[in-house]
Amino acid sequence: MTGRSTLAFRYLWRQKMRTGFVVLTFTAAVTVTLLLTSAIVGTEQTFIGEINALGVTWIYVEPGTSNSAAIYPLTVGDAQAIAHNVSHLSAVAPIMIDGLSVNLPSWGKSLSDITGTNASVQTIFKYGVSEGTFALDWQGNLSAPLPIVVGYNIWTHNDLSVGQELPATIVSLSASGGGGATQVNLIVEGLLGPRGSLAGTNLDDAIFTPISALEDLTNSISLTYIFVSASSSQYVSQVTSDISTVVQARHQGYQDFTVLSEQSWVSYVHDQLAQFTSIISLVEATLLMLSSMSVFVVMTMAVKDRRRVIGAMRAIGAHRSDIMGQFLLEASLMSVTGIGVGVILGTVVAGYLKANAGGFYSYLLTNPMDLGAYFYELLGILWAVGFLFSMVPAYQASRLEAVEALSSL
Amino acid sequence: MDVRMNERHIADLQDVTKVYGSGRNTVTALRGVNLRIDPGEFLAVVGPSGSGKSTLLHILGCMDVPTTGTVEIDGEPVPRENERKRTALRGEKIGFVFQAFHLLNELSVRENIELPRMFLRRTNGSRLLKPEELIAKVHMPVALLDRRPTEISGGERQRVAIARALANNPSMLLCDEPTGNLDSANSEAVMAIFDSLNRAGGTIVVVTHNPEVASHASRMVTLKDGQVVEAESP
Ligand SMILES: Nc1ncnc2c1ncn2[C@@H]1O[C@H](COP(=O)(O)OP(=O)(O)OP(=O)(O)O)[C@@H](O)[C@H]1O
Ligand SMILES: [Mg+2]
Repeated sequence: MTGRSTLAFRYLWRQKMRTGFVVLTFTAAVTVTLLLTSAIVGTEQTFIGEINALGVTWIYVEPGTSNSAAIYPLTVGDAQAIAHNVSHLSAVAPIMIDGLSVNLPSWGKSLSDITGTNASVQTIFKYGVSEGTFALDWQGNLSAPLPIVVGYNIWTHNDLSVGQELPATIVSLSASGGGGATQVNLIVEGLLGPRGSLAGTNLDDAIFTPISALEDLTNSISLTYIFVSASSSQYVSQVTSDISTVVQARHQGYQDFTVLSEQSWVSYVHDQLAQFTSIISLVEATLLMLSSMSVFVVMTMAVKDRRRVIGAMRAIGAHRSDIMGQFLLEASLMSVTGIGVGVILGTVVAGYLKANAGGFYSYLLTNPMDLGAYFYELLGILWAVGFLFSMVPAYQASRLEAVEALSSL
Repeated sequence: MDVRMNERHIADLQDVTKVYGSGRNTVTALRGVNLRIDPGEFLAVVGPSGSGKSTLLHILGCMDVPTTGTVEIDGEPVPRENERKRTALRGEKIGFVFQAFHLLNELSVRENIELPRMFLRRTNGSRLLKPEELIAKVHMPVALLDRRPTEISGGERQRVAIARALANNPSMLLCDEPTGNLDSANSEAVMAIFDSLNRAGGTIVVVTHNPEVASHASRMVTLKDGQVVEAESP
């Protein structure tokens, strides 16, 4: 028995170029959508996973708010005030990342982004110490060796050991540092175990040094942020509001800083990445237009080419709905094939990038099942809009008068 | 003979008029045509070009509707407004054969022959013949079933088209210049098929310019300017 699908496949096969073109536009739309979704959902899942791995007790303070810049810098004084006046704390770590370039003649290279902090960082970021200690005590004298605690990637790549002294020239890259160069001797105090990444930062690339040394070297007291850990999850909200009170008092009553708990961080990450979702929607809309236009144009050409066949089919008993159904079937076969190929291609490309490209690409999700309902809604919309656009030529085909269609050239 | 059988016609056209176009550009293709076709008849419709032969055939085959007048096929009135019903009637009761064959080149001979069945919403109860049986009815070998229309001759294509027209066991075959694209040998072969179908009781209407073709018919209707000017048994 002759089937509609047999007929559809034969016609699609005869017009390989046209069919291929339509399939390709759908494939492109799905591949791009899949990769973008995979990147965003993967990044969100990774970031939130890493944030959750820190536990739920940590609290983060940064200068400025989402609407305004800081009036007063966040300082070590603020961190000390928090430590003295807020109860139920287990750790307070001031963090300064101030664009220092450390030139190491013995390594033949320079390092940037040395982090000034104190030993509490170890507790908060859950670092393990492989060798040595994580104390970051400092005499306050730049002529004495400056202790550093080195992240896993740094010490393994540079073959460092505890107690090793490293002559270095430190050049401040920040405006406040005045661009001066200082000769110091670094001494390796501790080597950290592998830790992984946190919200896009590789914690194994860190080099920690005492905060007061970094203040001297950069000639600045502005902290990048302060990390605080509550002694138990039940105190997080109380500690959060106490920190606010303490810091606001020190800032002459200005709430010119932001206090975020783990919970608000998770929603912050979510909100940031949600902005990319609208980018996907835009890209999707463009590709949607392209594939819809392609299916519309190709189906219109098919109807024009097949007027006589339409007439013949009508003469031997085809209903208008049979004609319409035939063209809709052909259009759907193309779009569904394109969507299927796109899912496969996107998955393969995501897998390849994740395995080989590293960096940001390591966040890509490689199982299309993990992409969430939004991705499948997009696929549904793509199919539906393609279907809608093919309805116009299919309907026109079904409205052709049989006698006229038969006599057309 | 059963009286009811006598009253029941395969087709019955009463006062059929067909006007194309509107305003100043109207063409009257048929004017008051009355025509009855009885079961088992082999009717030839002849007449000069433009006399309305194809128009008449299209109305008989429910492909078109008359401007005025009524049409009954197999005792069922052909509805003017209900296009679906007309299409269903056409699929079940009419087999069309055209001068230009109108086979689908993307389908094999077998698939072409079976194609009309794809559109049937219901069957009229009679057993439908297999493609092998249908191809035998048009005097062709079964081996041809697996070829494409592009791989057979014009004469063979027309015979396949006849087999396709027979697929749904129609009440009547309607043929518009079926030999118009064929040489005399192939025309003879096609007419031989019509003869044998007619001998087996089939009702056939053939529109033709060819007197040789018309001579096979049991009755001849001549159209001129959209009117039946002559109806005779040859
Ligand atoms: N769709 C149409 N629109 C307008 N006029 C038409 C249409 N179809 C047919 N006609 C006109 O109706 C008349 C009858 O046409 P028809 O095709 O029935 O003639 P015919 O007897 O089959 O001619 P031929 O032997 O050339 O095939 C002609 O004058 C033709 O020009
Ligand atoms: Mg004609």
